[in-house]
Amino acid sequence: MMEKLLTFLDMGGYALWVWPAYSLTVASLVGILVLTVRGLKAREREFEILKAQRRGGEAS
Amino acid sequence: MGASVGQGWNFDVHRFANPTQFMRIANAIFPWAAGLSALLFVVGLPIALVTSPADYQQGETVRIFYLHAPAAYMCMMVYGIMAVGSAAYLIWRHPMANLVARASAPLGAIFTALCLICGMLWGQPMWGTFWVWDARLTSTLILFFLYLGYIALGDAFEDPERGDKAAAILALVGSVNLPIIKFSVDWWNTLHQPSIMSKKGFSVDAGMLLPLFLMLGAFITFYIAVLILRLRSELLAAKIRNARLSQVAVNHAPQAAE
Repeated sequence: MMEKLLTFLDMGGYALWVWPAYSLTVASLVGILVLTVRGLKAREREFEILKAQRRGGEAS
Repeated sequence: MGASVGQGWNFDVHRFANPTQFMRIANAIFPWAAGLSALLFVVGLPIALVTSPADYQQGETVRIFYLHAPAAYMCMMVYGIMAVGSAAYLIWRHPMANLVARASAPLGAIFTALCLICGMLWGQPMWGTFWVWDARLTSTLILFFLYLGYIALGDAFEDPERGDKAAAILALVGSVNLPIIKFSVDWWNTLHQPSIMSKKGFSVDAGMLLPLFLMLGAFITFYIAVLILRLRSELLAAKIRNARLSQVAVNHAPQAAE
């Protein structure tokens, strides 16, 4: 079992090339997803605050 | 008769130009795109990394190809969408087309970077070099700079509309690079292998086509899902800008009356 895992991780001697390719791809895609969701949430909050301010302004 | 055909065409263009209508369709697509993307990654990654066969010449490095080739396909497809969106914006002043182009640019830049980096990580063990200045690699690097230029130019003006127009023109001019990338492997001598797709069919084993298409599907649906999130964000930014402007107008109105 352990040996099988080590052979898999070794990638036939090409571990140095295969694993960085996969890690970079996953990291970049997760990265842009997180940045996109964060940006969207920040704008949603900002818009809610503006709406609340406007309602407050009308009430006064 | 002629008039009704003309009206039908106008109606269609308008339907997609209207952000509310556009987002109604986009929001309906979103859960399917996001779910399918997650599923394709979960199924595709183990096949690409574990169960698919090693190449008789390239050994295990062939697994890099399952990221490199879909990323290469994506970087050209996304640029194509960006160019068409920019054209629709410049010709018909189609606001959603411009937003699609703007929201696509960072995704396209990432796919181009991944295509280049994964290609280099394959090139070093297989070609013996990270990089050669041949037509395919150089034109893809230019594509990466076109994406960066588009993003930078769009944000470079105080008036957002001027930035959008300048960036859209750059996207259109840069689209001449797409056929150069596509046909570079046929037009010039290069280290880069030609396309696996030809009139004769696919030139690789079926066991390698499966992870290739699963990863391509995962990338396409990922692009669609993140694009829709970015469109929501861009539309909210526009709403916030408008709300701020009307707030300023309200605040200044009493002073103007005095």
